[in-house]
This record gives sequence, C-alpha cells and structure tokens, in this order.
Amino acid sequence: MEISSTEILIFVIHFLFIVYTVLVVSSYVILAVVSAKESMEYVKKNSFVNYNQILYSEVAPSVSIIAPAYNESLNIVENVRSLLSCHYVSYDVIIVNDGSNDDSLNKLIKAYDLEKVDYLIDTQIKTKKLRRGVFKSANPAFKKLMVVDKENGGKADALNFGLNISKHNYVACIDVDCLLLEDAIQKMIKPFLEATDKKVIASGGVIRVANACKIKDGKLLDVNFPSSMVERAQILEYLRSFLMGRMAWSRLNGLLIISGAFGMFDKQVMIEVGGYNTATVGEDMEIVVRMRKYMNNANVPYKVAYIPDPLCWTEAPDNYKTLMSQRNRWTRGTIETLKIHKEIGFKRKYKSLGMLSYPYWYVFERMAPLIELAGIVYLVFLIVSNRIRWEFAIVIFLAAYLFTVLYSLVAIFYEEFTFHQYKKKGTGIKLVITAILEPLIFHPFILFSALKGNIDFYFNKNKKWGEMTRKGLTKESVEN
Amino acid sequence: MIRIQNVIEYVEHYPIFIQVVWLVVIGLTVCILISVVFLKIMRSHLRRKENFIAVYQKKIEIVLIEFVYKQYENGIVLEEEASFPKAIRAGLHNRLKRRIILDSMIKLKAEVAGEMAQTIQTMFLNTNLFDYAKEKLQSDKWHIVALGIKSFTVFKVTTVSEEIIKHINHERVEVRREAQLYFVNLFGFKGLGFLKTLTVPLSEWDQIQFLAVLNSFNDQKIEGVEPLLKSLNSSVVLFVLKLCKVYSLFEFKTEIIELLFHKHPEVRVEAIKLVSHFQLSEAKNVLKEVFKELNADGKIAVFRMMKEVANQEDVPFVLANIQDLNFHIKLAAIEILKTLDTEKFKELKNSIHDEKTKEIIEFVAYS
Repeated sequence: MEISSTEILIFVIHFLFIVYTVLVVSSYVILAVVSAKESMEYVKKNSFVNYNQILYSEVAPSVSIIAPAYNESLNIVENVRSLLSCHYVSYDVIIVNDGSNDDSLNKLIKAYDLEKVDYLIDTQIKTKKLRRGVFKSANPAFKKLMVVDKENGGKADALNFGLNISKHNYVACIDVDCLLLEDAIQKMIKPFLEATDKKVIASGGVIRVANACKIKDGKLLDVNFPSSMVERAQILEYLRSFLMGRMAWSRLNGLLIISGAFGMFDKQVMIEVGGYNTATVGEDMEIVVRMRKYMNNANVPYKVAYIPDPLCWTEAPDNYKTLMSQRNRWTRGTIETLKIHKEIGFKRKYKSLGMLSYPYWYVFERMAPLIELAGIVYLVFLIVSNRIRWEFAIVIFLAAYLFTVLYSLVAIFYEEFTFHQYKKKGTGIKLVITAILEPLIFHPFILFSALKGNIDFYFNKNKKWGEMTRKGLTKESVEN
Repeated sequence: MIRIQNVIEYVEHYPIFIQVVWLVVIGLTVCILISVVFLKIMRSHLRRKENFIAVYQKKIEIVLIEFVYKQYENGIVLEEEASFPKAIRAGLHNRLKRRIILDSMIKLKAEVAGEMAQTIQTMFLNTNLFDYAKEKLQSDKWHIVALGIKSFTVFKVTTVSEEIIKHINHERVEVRREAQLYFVNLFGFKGLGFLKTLTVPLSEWDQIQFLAVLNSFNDQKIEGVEPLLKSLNSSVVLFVLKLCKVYSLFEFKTEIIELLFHKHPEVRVEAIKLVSHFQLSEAKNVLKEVFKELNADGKIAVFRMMKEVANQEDVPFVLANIQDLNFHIKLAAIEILKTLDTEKFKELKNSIHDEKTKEIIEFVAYS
C-alpha cells in the first residue's frame, strides 16, 4: 500500500500534537502532586509558627513597603491607610507618585499632613528625576509614611526610585491598589529569616481576587464570590495558578515569577542586578529571572520562597476589555523576559532554572497559545478538506475539556483543604459551574488576548501597559 | 435502547489510540462526578465541623472557666481526674474534642496566672492529655513529635526534659525548634545550655523567638556566655552577640573584640556592630588596621562606630576613605570630617568636583 506525502505529513502533525498534549498533561499532573505535598507540608509547618514574637522584637529586620502610584486619586488615601496598618515591628511605607496628573499627591498631603523634606538619595539605579520632592508627615502617627513625587517613568522606574530611597535590607514591592492583610509582612519576612543553608532572595505571595468582597477602612471583612463569569473564572484561574502551579514550583525551587502585586525582596541583590528593567512590561518576572541568573553565576546557593496564605487581595478586571488588555500585557511580558534571558535555557550551569523552569515556561507558557492556534487552524483545514473524522475529533476534544474541568476541581479541593476562603453555602456549586463553563466561555478570550499579545510583541513594539481601569476596593459588595 | 455490548463492539472498530482516549474520557467523567459529590460532602462536613468546633469550644471554655474559678474560690487544687468536670472527662477520648479541650486550656492558661494556671496545669498532668503528649514524642511523624513537645512547653512540664533534649539536633527544623523553645521557655537563660551541644545552625527566626521568650523572664542572670562566644557553631556566636547587645553584656568586651578576627564574615560584621554599639574605643585601632580586608557591611559598621568615637587622630583615616564608592561610607566619612575638622571640610568642599560627592557635601554642610 502506497502512502502519500500528505498522509505522512498528517501523521507527523498528529504525532507532534499528541506528544505535546501528553507532555502538558503529564506536567500538570506532576505539578498537582508536588503542590499537594507542599501544601500539606506548609499547613503542618505553619501550625507551629508563632508570629507574635517578631512583632515586638528589637532585632527583627526593618522592611520598606514600596508602592508606585499613577493616577490613583480615587482610593489612594484609603489604600495608604491600609498599608500603614500592617502589624510589624519596624517598617516604612514609600509611596512613589510616578508623575500622576491627577490630584493624588495633594490628597495625600492633605490627609497625612505631609511636608516637603530634604532627603539625600543614594542613586544606585538610574531613574527619572524628582518632581515636587520627598514628603514626610508632620504628624507622628504617620511617621512611617514617605511620599516621593517624581517624573513619570513607568512602574519599574517608580519601583527603582523606591529601591534607591529605601534604607532597609528588605523591600516589599506592592501595587498601591492592593489590600494587604495585617499580618502580611511578618509572614513574608519569615522565609528570609529562617534560611540557614541558602540565601532567600525573594518571597512571593498569593494574590486573591477581592471583587465582591466586603472591605471597609482598608480591611477585608467578608469574602464573597462575585456574580459575573469573568470575575468568577479569574478566581478559579488564580486558585489554579497560585495554589497548584506556583506552590509546586516553589517546592522545586523553580519559581520564575513573583507577582508584581505583592512580593518581598532582598534589596541588596536587587540593586546588584540593576533593579527593575524599565524596558519591559513584564518587569515582575524579568527581575526574578535576572536575580536567579545572578545568583547562579555567583554560584551562591539561593531560594525564591513562596507563601501560599491569602495575604494580598486585588481587584481583578470585571469586564472582558480590561481583562484582555491585562492578559495581552502578561503575554508580552513573558515573551520579553524569555527573550532577554534566552541564554539560560537548557544550560546545565543554571541548574533547575536552566534545565527545568526556563524550558517549561518556554514550551508550556510562551508557546501554548501558538500551539493552540495551530491546532485550531489544523482543525479548520481538516474540516475544509473533508479529512476530519468527527468521531475521533469529538472524543479528543472531550478528553481535553474534561481534563481541564477536573484540574480546576482539584484546585478547588486544594483551596478547601488549605485556606477554605469561600465558605458560604452555595459557593461550592458556583465554583463547580465555573469550572465547567470556564474552558468554553472564558478561555477563548484568554487565548485571543495571548495571540494578540504575540502580534503586539512583534508588530506593535510601542505598545506599553494598555488600559487598566480600576473601580476601587472600598465599595462594599454583597454576594448574590 | 443502545446496549453496552453494542457500544463496546462499535468502539472496538476504532484504532487503539482512540479506544484509549475513550477510556480516558470515561475515567475523567467518573472522576469529575465523584469529585463533585465529594466536594459537596466535604464542604458540608467542613461547615458542620466548623460549627461544631465553635459550639463545643464555647461550651468547654465556660466549663473550664467555671471549674478553675471554683477551685480558686475553694482554695484547693483537685488532682484526681474524677474531680474534673464531666464534659471535659467525656471529651478526652475523642480526638477532635481532645484537641479543642487542649486548645481551650492553652488559651485560658495564657489569660490567667497563679493558682488558676496551676489548676489548668494539674488538669493536663492528671488526665490522658499528658500520656497522649508523651506518646507523641515517640512518633515517626515529625509534626506529631513537635506537637507533643509544644504541649509540654505550654504546660511547663519539666519532667520530660531528658526525652526532649534528644531532639535538640533533630533533622527537621520544626522539631528541633520546638525542643529548643521548650528549654528556653521552661528554664530561661539556664535553658540556653543546649547551645553548647548544638551542631545545627540557628536561624535568625529562631534567635528572634529565643530573645522574645527570654525577655519575659524576671531572673535575667546570664551564665556561660564566654564559652558560647567561642563556639564552633557560628550561628550560636551570632545569637550570643545579640544577647550581649540586648542585655548590655559589656563584661565580655575582650571576647567580642577577639571576634573581629573570626573566620566567618557575618560574625565579624556583627562583632563590629556590637563594638560600635558599645562604643568600645579600644577596638578602634584594630578596626582601622583590618579595615581594608572587611566587606562593605563591615566597613559601613566601622564608620558608624567612628561617628561616635572618632577624634582628631582619625582625620587621615577618614580623609583616606572619603572617595570610597560606597554611598554610606562616603556619607559617614564626610559627616565625621565636618565634626572633627571644619577647615579640612571646607577645603574638601572647594576641591571636590564629582557631582555625587558634591551633593553629599552640600547635604551634610546644611544639615
């Protein structure tokens, strides 16, 4: 029997798709198993920790919370109040007003009795210049607060300014619109203080979706499950990403990203690597990769730690337009970071970073939307050329869909077994419905955004952050 | 009606790969259905458990408080299990209830003192809570061992110290931390004796915990510091340096100055910081001699000390380091120069051309 070259090509394509699918599924299963082990271990370990003793310790290290702000007038006063209410023995809050053209600064000056002060800044990282200067409060109640008003240079530049001005060894970089729980700093500093055999260079926190939650005076009063699909799907996505993915990568010491919304860092290492990269929209991922590369090159044993407690709550996009803009940026950030550090990939010298994390991110994160697109194009080709065998296509689609649903259900189980935040009656079934609908309704938008991100990366180099409209967390919402 | 046999026969005509995928689909569907049912059961169970814990805890707390106050008013401490409240005795044989009872006792013990605390401790010693805790020490699971030690720490049971000392160098950090905290909590400064035999490192976190516990003791007589400052375990030396700082142990200044030459850089830096904190001017010349060999942290610590103890004879040393690339050293050197020698400071101000140094000089001049 003669086999045509088209048939050989089709066979090869099928084989490649199958290999990729098996690899993706295997990696997800391995990550789920590893993260289950790590989660159980964390819960056990954490039951012995007494955080109270660090609250009054005179030898506990000081921390700077750096929060860049750009046109955050709507909630800035409330958000700063929340940051000033952290329970930690010694910390300061540095708000870097990154050339806002709204009245953020004036609001802060008025609310916190700010006065301009002379301040000598150790400019170790080049940044945009000061605009109106450095402000501190005349009121001793707000002595922890420092507000810096500088020319606009973007989030990375504002964070770098914060690094220059901070006087402490540890910095927590956060988004000013996030809600930090009171014990966030004590929990995040712990890995740095616990390490004896490895230097902890960074510690990442879990980000939770605050939409529909009841928040008052900068405090989280009640956790609710939102009503719209776009918000619900993101909750599920965050559970999968933070409780399963990152937890497992933390165990493997392969974390490549610490969310820009909340992370704590060893300031010295950050400065030695040159601070945040202002030329990328994925500065949060890029700096972690650069810090890891630096430590590998210096041959110093190190770790990027991860704290799975729900410490930081953020407002997720509540409409598809904003969501797509955000995901477009995340995709570009990933591509940029992987491109900048392409020499890491498959290099033994970089150990788990080069042999595990980088290849995983490249193959299963960076390439995933392109391979999915290729799959769709191929499916269309098969339909048009009348080569499709529907009975095969349907069963393969079913298997992929069911695996996705099951994976989400496993993430829900992890949440229930560990932090059990969505306690209310009826939320369980809503989570299950979301898990069933998400691959069909939500995922297409994510795929489209990722593809658009790829196009923008190659053909629209000038595109930067994109639109990110916030409504604010201070509104009180009640679950439907 | 489609018979299962027909479906199987139909699927058997497919290639083996598709048959496998069908099996996967069936498997996943079953898993999803089971998961959904299990999730429903689990969430209901968790809610019921939470409600039960809240109600039972409240009940036990009331019973405990009433019992403890009654004992206090009667002026006696009953030691027989039979004399303890029925609700507590009944709950001691159920794992969850026992845990709640133990937690409630720990909570109440933290809130009361004297005879009332004694009553709670007696309850722990004379019920099966003590036996369970002792059993836990023999467990193969690290977290069970740690839980056992924790119970003995909270209820200040000194009779098991021989058992617990075995875990001081345990391979699991949580177990050895609980064991170490047991000795510090129960014996205060005397409990630090385990440091002599400690072979594993003490983390900063451990050190902070120990200092916090030690702070609560009225008897602050510290013994045996000198050999610990010479310990081969550098983390022990670092901890003792912290002790010296917090409790102003000036009497060990000779040993502390010797640590300026310690092989471990972190110990050297901490020793410099302590020398600086104590303003031990006799160490100044030693530090100036070894200055070039120090790392940036060490050099900064030396200059912080110099700000307090420098005099005219140190001006050449200060001037020699004014062009140091480190911002903090440069700033400290300029500040010291301004204090020690106004003329030389003015000369410097007029002769310096690099922008960074100029900015610092301007700042120092007007501050």
